Amino acid sequence: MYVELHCHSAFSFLDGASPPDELLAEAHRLGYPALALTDRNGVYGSLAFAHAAKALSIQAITGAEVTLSDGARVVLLAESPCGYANLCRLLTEAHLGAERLDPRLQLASIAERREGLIILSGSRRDGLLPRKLEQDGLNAARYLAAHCKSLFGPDRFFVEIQRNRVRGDMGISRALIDVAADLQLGILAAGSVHYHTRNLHRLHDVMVAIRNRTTLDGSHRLRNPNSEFYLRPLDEVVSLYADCPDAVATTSVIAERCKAFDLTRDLGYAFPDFRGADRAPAPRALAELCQARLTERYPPGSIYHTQAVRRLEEELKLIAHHQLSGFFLVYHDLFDLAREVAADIRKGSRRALGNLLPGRGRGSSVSSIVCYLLGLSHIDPIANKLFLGRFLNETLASVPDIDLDFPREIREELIRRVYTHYGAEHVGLVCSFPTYRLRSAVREIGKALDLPLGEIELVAKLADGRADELPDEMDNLPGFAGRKDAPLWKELCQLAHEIRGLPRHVSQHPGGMIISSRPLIELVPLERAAIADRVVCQWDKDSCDDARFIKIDFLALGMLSLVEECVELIARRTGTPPDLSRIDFEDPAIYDRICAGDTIGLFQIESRAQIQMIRRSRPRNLEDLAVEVAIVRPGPIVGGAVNPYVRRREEQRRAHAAGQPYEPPVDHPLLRDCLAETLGVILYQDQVLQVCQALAGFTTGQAEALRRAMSRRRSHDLMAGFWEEFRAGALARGVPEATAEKIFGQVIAFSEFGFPKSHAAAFGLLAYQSAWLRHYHPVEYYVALFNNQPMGFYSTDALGRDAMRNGIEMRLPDVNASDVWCTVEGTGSRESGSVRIGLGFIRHWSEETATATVEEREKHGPFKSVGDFIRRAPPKLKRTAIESLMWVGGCDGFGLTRRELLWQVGLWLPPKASRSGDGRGRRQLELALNHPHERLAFGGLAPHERLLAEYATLGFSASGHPLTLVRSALPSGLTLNRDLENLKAGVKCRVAGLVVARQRPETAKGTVFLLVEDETGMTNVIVRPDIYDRYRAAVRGEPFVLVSGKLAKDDGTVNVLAEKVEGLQFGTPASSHDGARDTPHAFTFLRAMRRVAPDSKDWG
Amino acid sequence: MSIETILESWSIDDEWWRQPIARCYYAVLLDGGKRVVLFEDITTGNWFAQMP
Repeated sequence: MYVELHCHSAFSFLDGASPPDELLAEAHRLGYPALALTDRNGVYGSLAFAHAAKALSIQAITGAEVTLSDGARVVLLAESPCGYANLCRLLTEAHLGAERLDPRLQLASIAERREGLIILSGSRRDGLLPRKLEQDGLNAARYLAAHCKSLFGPDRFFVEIQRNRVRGDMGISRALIDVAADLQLGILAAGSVHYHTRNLHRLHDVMVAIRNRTTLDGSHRLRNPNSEFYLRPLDEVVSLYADCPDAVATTSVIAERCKAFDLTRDLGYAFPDFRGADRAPAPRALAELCQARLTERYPPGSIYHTQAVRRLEEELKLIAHHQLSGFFLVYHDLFDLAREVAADIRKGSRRALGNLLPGRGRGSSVSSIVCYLLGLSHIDPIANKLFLGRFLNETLASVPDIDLDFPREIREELIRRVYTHYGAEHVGLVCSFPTYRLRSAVREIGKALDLPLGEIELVAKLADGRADELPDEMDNLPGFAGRKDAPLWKELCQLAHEIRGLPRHVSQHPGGMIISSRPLIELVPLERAAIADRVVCQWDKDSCDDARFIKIDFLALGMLSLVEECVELIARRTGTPPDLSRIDFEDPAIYDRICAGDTIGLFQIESRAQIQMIRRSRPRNLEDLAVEVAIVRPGPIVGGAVNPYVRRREEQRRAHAAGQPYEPPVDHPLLRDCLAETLGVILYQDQVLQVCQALAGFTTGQAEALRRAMSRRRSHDLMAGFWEEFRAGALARGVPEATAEKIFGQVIAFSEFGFPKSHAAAFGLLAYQSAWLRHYHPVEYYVALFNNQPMGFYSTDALGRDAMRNGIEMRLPDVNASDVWCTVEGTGSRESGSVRIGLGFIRHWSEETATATVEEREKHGPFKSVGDFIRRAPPKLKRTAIESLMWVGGCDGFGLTRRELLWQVGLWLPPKASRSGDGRGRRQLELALNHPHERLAFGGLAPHERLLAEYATLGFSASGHPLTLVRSALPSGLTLNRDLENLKAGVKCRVAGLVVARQRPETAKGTVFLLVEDETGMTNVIVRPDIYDRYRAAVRGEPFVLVSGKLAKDDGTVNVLAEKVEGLQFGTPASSHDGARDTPHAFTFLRAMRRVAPDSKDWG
Repeated sequence: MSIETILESWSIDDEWWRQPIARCYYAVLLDGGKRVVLFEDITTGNWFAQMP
């Protein structure tokens, strides 16, 4: 029986066209008893492969193809747990000991760690022995084989024979057989499989071209010459090797040897011990710690004391049952480490006295009273009635996640300290595998097919469906109708469909970290991350979960960095930092602004959809804000929870106003308790489990299995698999099948993204705190908001205008007033305060050059003139950077117009062509210049020129909206955003503006939403699919649009239902002198604006 | 003239994005001792002898 021992999957990243599960399905169909996965320099897909193989009763053999220092490759197979540990160590050495993305390994390293490994001599194209044979002849190959035999031993080193109908295969395989016979080495047949079925060879060819950054034509020598690298039927393999049956038989022998190692069983992971493990057993240590804090948080006699005591008992019992006490205590140690880091980072700052937490809990762990008492969460789970089962239950199948958010600076340092604390070999970040989507597929395959770059880019930009919908998408694109059947475009469509969902490369999970008491590098290989000094392990979160690794999530949350900075700025101005844990959480002024939809720049409640929702649901307390955070998510939206919730909330409001109780309707009386707080609909993930338990009698075990399914990739299929259990359980409880089916539809809607209540409560609190800071300390808030970009839903441009609408003045950079980043100016008693934009925001400036400039100014006084500035500015500051500063008004204080300033720069500094390598290529500058042309006078910039300069040099405007300058030239009959509210619903209207955001959420079934901003605010434009198809180019590509449509008003929201969407256009100027210098011709201005306008934020 | 033995066979699948080339090649030894390379065009089923 033949076993394939050399097989690449898509986890060879552009050197394998099939995912592991499809390889296995084909192997199963063909009757393979075992299959090895030997991806290039990694075991990225091996654990998922091993689990999938087990389900099909196929023996999974774990291995990898490793690249040696001279570029040749060998295959390593793990035949024992020790062999697997050596494989992981070797792969780690290959990655960490070489350049990133070019792992290399010495043959001697393999020899040192050969125990438990089987080494194959490599493939025909670049294997160790075949390469030697082709390059240096038979004798050299024999010498190398003898060397390998002595290094690894004859029982570990095998000569690999491949017959893929490539010219010369027979000659090479005969020579290799001779070498093996001479040296008494074993031979084995291998298919060098790169795809599971023959038809995928085209995709593999394209992948080779992409990997080598060339076209199919350009990759002729790099591609395989034929389509024979697929998983062959067993009898075909046997007949291929009829002249050397031993080669086939050896594969079975090796597979038999590899049975001693099963990756799903033999990993041997253990979490480190907690501090003080030598003094007390973990359950007792944890109980003591929690009891001590319980009396502080819930003093005897206080309202929640009894419930808290009961809840703590319950949780401690569950934790002891799952032997997780040590796990919680290690988290406690880690949070102590975070406290130290935060104290070090905040040392000397005013915010150090602000009672700021080092970080905050998020996710389901916030529902745990143990986490609350250990300081891992800041939300009281008793007062907030948080359900524990999503985090901890009797039949927990995997270790629960405790996710922690930190400000960016603290998180960076904390990760470094964790490495130091546990040792580099014991710690790694979880990786992720970004997959091909429509745009990336079109761009990369299009280039490989050598399609015109401009057209590829147009398709990539304008098409926005899924990759398998590309033919339909192209039919709807202007200029591309009918192309789906044209040569090359047809192939693009097919290949984009095939590549969809395959992993593209290795990336870093947002915050997951693995810590192991046994060296992690014996469990999973580590490799360099894109960020310097970071290493990631080769498994993603699902594989880490399957391996029962404990994943610690340290996430960077931009809003926490903003809060840190904002509190510091407030403390600097007022002398006291605000204590955000003790602010008034019922402040009507804050809720009034939130309810009015004035939430741009706030945490979590600022998006277009959130603003729409917030005007309808009108939150008045933290609990409402938690709902707000959770409701605009795909889970509740797909489950149809949104409209019923809003409707019932209004009914509840009316009933309460009339002094009557309100009983929300539910689909079945059994759901009354678990859905009461959300008015009869499922809003939170926890409720999914509660509903299944209440309606279908799910045991905790079933609920736990459902919980796991909910958080996995392909969760929809996994959750749908629970239907029979759900149906049977519901019927047994007397629930009609139709009702059960309806409710199950709501349940599996949560295979889409949704929040547990605990997470929503934690984020709702931060949303309120951000609103409070903005309301009472607006200038500090906006300064911190600008300095912490990018974050949130809007561009800096849109945020700046929102600041201005809120009375904040945006001041342009000034070489004598600006700091490196934005600062607060003018917050005296009479002034509302301004944001001074920092020098670091200017194009061509860096943090380094801005810092050096500010330091020079502080040391030797303000800059007095162009010459003075150029003399004293840091040498690295280039002429282009100095010119950008002049264009944006940074030297207006020198008393010259911007044109005069730019003229002088030209006198002082050589033109770009003669610029020297270091900085800007100075001329002699020490003596004062007395140039005959120095005093030439030029007029200043007109308002439109200034605005264009701001966009060109800052990327945003600090002095207003572009439409202000061409308002008079706009078509008649336009309605400003602020006036829409005064119109009646249903009337026809036309609005124009800058597109701030484009959204085409999957849940909206093809509807596109545009946020169109004019001088007075942002209008939500709804573009139905038929209108979108008609005006797609304008909807997706135009920076300024003119929308004709109908006004829709509903529950306090105002929208325009688009009937026509065009790019905003003006007539061409009659002559070059048309229009005065200070009032641009609208056509010219708009054309210039199109070049510099910031891209809208496009959201899925 | 008949074929004494097939020395080697190989295949090519290339240029599928343009004018697909799918061929099966056979290096054969003829009974007179002459070596020739024959190939079958898989798409048309036609046979050719490769020019030396």
